[in-house]
Amino acid sequence: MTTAAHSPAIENWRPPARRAAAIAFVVGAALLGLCLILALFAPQRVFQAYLYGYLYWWTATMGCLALALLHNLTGGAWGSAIRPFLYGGIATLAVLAVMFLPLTLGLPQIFEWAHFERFDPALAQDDPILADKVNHYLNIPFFLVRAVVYFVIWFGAAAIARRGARRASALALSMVILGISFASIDWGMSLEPHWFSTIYGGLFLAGGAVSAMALSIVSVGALSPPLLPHDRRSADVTNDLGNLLLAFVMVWTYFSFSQFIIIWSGNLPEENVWYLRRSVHGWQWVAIAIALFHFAAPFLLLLSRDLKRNPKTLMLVALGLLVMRSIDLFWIIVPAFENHGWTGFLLDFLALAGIGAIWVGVYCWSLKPLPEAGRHHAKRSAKRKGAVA
Amino acid sequence: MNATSPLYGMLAEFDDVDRLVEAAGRTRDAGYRKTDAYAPFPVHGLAEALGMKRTAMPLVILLGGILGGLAGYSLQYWVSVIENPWNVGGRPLHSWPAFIPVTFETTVLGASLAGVLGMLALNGLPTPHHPLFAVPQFERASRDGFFLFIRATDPKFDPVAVRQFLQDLHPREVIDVPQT
Repeated sequence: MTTAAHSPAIENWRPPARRAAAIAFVVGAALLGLCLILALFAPQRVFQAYLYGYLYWWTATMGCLALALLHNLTGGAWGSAIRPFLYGGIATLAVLAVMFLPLTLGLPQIFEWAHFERFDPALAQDDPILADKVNHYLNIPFFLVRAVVYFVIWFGAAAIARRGARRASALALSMVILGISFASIDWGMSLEPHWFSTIYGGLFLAGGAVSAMALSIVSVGALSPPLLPHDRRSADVTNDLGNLLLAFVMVWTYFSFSQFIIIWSGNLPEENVWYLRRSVHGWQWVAIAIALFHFAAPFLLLLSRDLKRNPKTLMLVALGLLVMRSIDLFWIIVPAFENHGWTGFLLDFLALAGIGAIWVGVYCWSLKPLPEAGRHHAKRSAKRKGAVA
Repeated sequence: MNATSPLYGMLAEFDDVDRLVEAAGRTRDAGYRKTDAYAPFPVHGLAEALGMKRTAMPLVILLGGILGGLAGYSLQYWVSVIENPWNVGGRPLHSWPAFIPVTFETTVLGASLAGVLGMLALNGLPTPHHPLFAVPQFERASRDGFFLFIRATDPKFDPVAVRQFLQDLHPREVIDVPQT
C-alpha cells in the first residue's frame, strides 16, 4: 500500500516530537544558564537581550492564539490542518508567563522610565512629558498590574480557543488583539518613552501572524504527512496555507509602511526620531534587508502556485520568514538600547536562541494529533487505526 | 436534426458527476484533445481529468500588474519631477515613499483590468451563439445534466469510432451536434 510507505502516520508524531523537545530543553537550559552567568558581568545588556528574545517568541505565541481564535470564527480546511500546531504554540503561554518574571527584576535596567518614581519633582522639571507618563501610566506598579491583566486575558482566550465556541471566540479575539497592542506598547514602544505610534501594536500582531503561519507551515512540512496522499486536496490545503502566509506578509508590509509613510509625511521631530535612529550606524542596511527579505522576496515567491502547492518549497520560504521575523524585531527593538554594542548583539541572539529552545521544547512536547484535525483527516486516522489493530 | 449539415462534434450525457469524471479521464487516455465537459456546478478534478492545460491568465495578470505599477510610478515621477517640480516641505522632488500608495493602487488596477480583459479574450466570451445551444438536452447542463463533448476538429475524430467510444462509456445518450 502506497500510503503506508508514503509517510509516518499522524499518530507517530509523538515519540520524535518528545525526543526533540527533550533536546531543546537541555539546549535552552544551557543557553539561558550561559545568559545568567554573563548577567553577572553585563547585567544591563543581558536584560535588554532577554527582552528582545522574549518578544520574538511572545509574538509567535500570540500569532498562534489569534489564528486559532480566527479559525473558530471562519472555519476552513487550512485551520483544521494546522490546529495541532496552533495549540502547540498556545501551550507555550504558561512558560512565557514564567519567563516574564526575570524581566520584572530588570525593569530599571531596560526601561528609561523605570528609573523614576511617580511624582518626582526633578523629573517634572527636566522632562515634563516623561513625568506625565510616569505619573499616570509608565510606572513599575501599574506596569506589573497591566502585565498580569494581559496574561489573564491570554490564558482565558487560550481556554476559549481550545473549546472552539464561536461567540466567545469573537470576544476573545478582540480582547487578545487589544492585549497584544497594549503589551507591545508596554514592552516595546516604551523603550523610547517619548515616541508614540498608534499602529505599533499592529506591527506585532501582523508579525505574530506571519510567525505563527510560517511556524505552522514548517511543522506541517516536517511532521504531518500529506493530509490525503496523492490527492489534490492536500495540495489545495498547502496552497491555502501559502496564500494565508502571503496575506499576512502583505498585512505586515502594509502596517510597517503605513507607520513609515505617516511619520515621513509629517516629518515631526518627536515622531521621526524613531526612524532617524534606525537609519544610521548600519541600521539602514538592516532596514533594506527587511524590505527585501521580509517583503519583496517572499511576496514574489509566494505568488507562484507551484511553490505554494509543494510543501517542501513552501517550507523553505516559511523558514526564511521566521529568520526575517527575528531581524525585523531586532531592528524595531534593539536600536532603542543605548550602550548595547556588539557584545549586546551577540547576547541578543543568545537570548533569542535560549528562550527559543525552551519555547520550541514546550511546543514539541505538547503537540498532539487532534481528532478534530480535519474531518476527512480524522476519518483517515480512524481507518488507519483499524488497519493496525 | 438535419442530417446533411456538417457535424460540429458529439455530445454524451451522463447520469452523475462521477461517471463524467471517469469518462473524461478515459477520453483523455484515448487521445482525444479537443474536448470539453459541462456540469451544473464546478467539479473538482474534471479539468485535470480532461487534460486541460493551465491557462496563461496568471502571466497576463502579472504583466498587467507590472505595467500598471510602472505606469503609476512614472506618471507621478513625470508630474512631480519633470512637469511640475514643486518644493513640498523641503523634500526631494523624487520622494519615492509618497509615490508608493498610488503605485500600489495602479498595480492592482492594472492586474484586475488585465484579469477581466484577459479572461474575456482567452475564454472567447461573449459568445452570443454556440452550436450546443441547438441541442435540446443541453439545457440540463445548468440543472442536472453532466455532458462530455468531443469536437469534430479533433485530429482523431471519426464519427463512427467516436460514437462507439462514447457509447462504451455508458452514457444516458450520445447526441450528434450539428454545425449551426
